Amino acid sequence: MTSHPREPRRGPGPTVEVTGLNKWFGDHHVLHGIDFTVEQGEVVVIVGPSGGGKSTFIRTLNFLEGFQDGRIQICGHDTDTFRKNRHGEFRERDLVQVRRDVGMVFQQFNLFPHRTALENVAMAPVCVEGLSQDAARERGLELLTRVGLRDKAEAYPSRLSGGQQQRVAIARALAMNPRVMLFDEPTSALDPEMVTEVLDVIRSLRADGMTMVLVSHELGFARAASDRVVFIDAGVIVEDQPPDGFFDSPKNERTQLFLSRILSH
Amino acid sequence: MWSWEAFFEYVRSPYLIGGGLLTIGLSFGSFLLASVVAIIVTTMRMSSNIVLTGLASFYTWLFRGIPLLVQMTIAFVGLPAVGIKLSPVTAALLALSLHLAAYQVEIIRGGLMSVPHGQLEAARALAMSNLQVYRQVIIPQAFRNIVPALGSEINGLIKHTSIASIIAVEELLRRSQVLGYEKFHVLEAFLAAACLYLVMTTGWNLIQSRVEAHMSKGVGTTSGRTPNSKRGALRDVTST
Repeated sequence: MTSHPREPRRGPGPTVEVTGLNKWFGDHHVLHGIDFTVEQGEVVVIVGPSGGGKSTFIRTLNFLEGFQDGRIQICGHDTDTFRKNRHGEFRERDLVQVRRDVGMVFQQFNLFPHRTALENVAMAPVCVEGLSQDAARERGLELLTRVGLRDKAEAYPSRLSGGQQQRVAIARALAMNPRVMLFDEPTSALDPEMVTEVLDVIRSLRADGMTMVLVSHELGFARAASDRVVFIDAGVIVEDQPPDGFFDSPKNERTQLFLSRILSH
Repeated sequence: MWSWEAFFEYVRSPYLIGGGLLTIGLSFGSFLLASVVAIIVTTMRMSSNIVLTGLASFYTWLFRGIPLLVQMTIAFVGLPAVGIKLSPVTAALLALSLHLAAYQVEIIRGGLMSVPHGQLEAARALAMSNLQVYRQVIIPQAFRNIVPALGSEINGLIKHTSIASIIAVEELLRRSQVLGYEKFHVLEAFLAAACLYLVMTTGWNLIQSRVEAHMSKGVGTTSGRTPNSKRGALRDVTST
């Protein structure tokens, strides 16, 4: 990997620490006082029924969603030290600093269609980090090699399969050398035969020690490749256990019901 | 009596063609001015400042709600009443630009809003500032929607400049009227003008389809670069 130009911020505590997070969409209380911690190097998979708030929750971690109440400490950044503008939103300057340390991969890939795979990966290092074109290109090619797509560097996204697009999206997020990666249902929009290639890349990140939070329906992956599984239902963390305990002896009734419904097929 | 002789004389007359050149000048001049105004008004419209968005909405409401003919008359005979005296050409340019800008605002805004929200989120998640998000991601994609629509506006503009004839701007229509009433070959003169309008609009259509063909090149293909990649931070990433 190309070395990061900045000193990574390493606070003493966990990589992610969320305390008392509350969020409303109008009258709808979507997140109810969530407390959530991720230690450095941990892989946490969030599961739960749709509409339960898990996607909303993971999107608050890099502030794509705002929230009304609570505190987020992530990669040494702390919302208690942020200042708000007169609309009550966090200032862009603070959010940009957080997002330099937090990579995100979306369900719909969201590659930039007007740029090649390599340009997608090299864009943020150039315009956010101020890396030279050559250095960004080199880093981009390294990352595309890492996700097995070196030969697609010059291809536009529309010429790539869903699985390939998602691997480029992972490389794009890695290009900022994040300290934690967020995945919001990274395989939900993929044809079944392409799920594996994406999960393989995520597993390889785990092997490299990357701290990751995933919202996913891939229970097999959660069981085999995570350190903890978290069940969110109706905006509440109902269960938070290592995978063996989560799947073999869930404590909460709602978790048991959820698992029995999903695993019955 | 229809006179072919008069018709061919008019079609080739330097006087009439000179009027056509002024028509072209008015069209492109007001298009450029309108674009500047439209970019400013669109930025106001999309800002989070309620006063600016209000002013911008007022602007589009006003200039889209009054006929161009009326606006141009006001610019020429109304403004002198408050001490602003404009030549016919300046008044025509002013009215055309402000009128067209009101329509361009909607075109530009529509183009920006047609870019999927996921693009904005992906760019933000990569730690881009709002300015970078727009410059690198939103505007290049919106451009593909905006350019064809703006091109059609120019086609319309070439014809709309004829309204300037009522404030005595010597563009194509005005000059065809002068010629026509000189020897009472009115229809011949008008048809000569019609032919020249067709030459101009056809010429513009050819240019426009060239531009659009060029813009759609590269996107969705495995070879070639998009025209937009020539702008922006990354232009040389893929070249060796």
